Amino acid sequence: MTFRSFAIPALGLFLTAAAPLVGLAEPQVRERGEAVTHSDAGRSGDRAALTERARDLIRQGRTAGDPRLYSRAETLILPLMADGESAELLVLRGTIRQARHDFAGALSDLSNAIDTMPNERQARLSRAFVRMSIGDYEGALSDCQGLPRSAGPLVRSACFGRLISLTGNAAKADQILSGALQQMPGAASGPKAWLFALRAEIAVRRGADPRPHFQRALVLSDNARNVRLSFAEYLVFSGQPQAALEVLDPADTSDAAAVIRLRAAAQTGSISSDDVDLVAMQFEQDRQEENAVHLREEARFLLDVVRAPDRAVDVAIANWAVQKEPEDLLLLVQAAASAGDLTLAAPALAHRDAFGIEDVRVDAVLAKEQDK
Amino acid sequence: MSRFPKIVYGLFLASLLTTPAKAHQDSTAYLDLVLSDDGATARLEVSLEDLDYALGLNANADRKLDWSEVQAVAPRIRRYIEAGLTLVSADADCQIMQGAFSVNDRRHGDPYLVIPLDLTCGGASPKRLTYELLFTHDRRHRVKTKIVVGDEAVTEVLTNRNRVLALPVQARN
Repeated sequence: MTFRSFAIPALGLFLTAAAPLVGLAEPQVRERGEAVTHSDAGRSGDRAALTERARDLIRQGRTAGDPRLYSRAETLILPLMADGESAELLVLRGTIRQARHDFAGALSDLSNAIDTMPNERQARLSRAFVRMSIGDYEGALSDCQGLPRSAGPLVRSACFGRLISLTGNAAKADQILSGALQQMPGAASGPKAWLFALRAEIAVRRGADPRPHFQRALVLSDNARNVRLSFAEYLVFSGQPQAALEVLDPADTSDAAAVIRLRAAAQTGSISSDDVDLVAMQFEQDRQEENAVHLREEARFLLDVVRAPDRAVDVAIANWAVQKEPEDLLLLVQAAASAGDLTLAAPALAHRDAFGIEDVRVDAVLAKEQDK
Repeated sequence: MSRFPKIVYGLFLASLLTTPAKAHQDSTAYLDLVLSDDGATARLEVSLEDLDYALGLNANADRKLDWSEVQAVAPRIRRYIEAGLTLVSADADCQIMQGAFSVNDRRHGDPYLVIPLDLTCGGASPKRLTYELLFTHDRRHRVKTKIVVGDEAVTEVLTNRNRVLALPVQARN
């Protein structure tokens, strides 16, 4: 049975169950963490306090994109896990592993958490999105279906909406997300921002105007870093470098932001060789340390800034082995086309065809190649 | 009167560091160690954000670290470094004198505290380095250690699981 053959019945079940529910879950993504204090109580080994501090650090890590924050959280929880692996701690470590692109480790932790507590909604939600990242849509479907009612309609809509958008029905996915937002106008801003960001992502792939969705997501999320990055990525990809620079947080020195700035500078002819060298050096360091976290950014850097498609396609292939998001598909197809050998993107294109992933940007690259 | 260079002082007074910082990589310190016949000199650089997390430098908890806050806890920083950095020669522990602090803001966009070190080891060259800073706060912390002996230089990385480094023998003429 192919995925698409059971995706539609699943959607029907979801829509039936998607009547307004109470008890909105705050998705941890997109939230802004508070500062972690250095209280003596936190250092005393109190299990609940240390767990909460680790959770705060992970929230901050999501906001800031700083890997040290995840390491600090990991340092707090590993001694606790040696005394007993609760579902709560497994979810936290799974989240840390997900951030490090250790998807196998993340799935192991999240699955163990779900085995312990089948209604653990964060574990279900996280596992669904990890599975979507690696292209396991059947597994993601089972997790979206398994989300408890306490997760709330927006979170469940986000889960099913994104999944359906990746499996051949982006228009329907947008309807689901739009409908959920209309049904819950008074919902908390965090989940609403998340849904608008997902609608923006879908609009980009459908060739629609994503800007109203990005702008709503920015307002609702208090200009969350991830929303800024996605918006800036869209702008720089569509040849609006100045607008991309204006959307980015000037204080964001992450690799993703640095590469977008360099791409914008390359488009305006104002690129600095020192900046290029610095980013190249950081990616070289990653390679020496076998760190796969930034492969997508490195491939995009090689393709659009260094303009070295042969090297870019190698990194894009390595990245595709790790993650299979639409951005990774587009990247590999673009890099392979630029390198003059579209067959290098065959695994990604086969994945696209198998699941019906819609993306006008990929279509445009393929059409251009056919015209050659 | 601060010994801190004025240009850097002016640059960082308003906001030496706004937490959370955004680093590319895991927590990394840098130690450049120049061995001589009768001791060594060194330059240790530790991220101020890492020190803030470990020691709570940001006294007013406004998530912005300024130089006066660093100065206020300088004795604690010095004690922390003293406790976490050990060098020994064949016969004696090395005495480590810490010089004036300064800041290097050119590492990954993340300000680093620079601590010059002068080591005396009973008239001999140090033979072993033990580094134990920050591991209790970040198990992935590491220190990239560059060891210079004469015209030769080697780089080693010390980690939570590998905290001790045997230093190259300093040949006497």
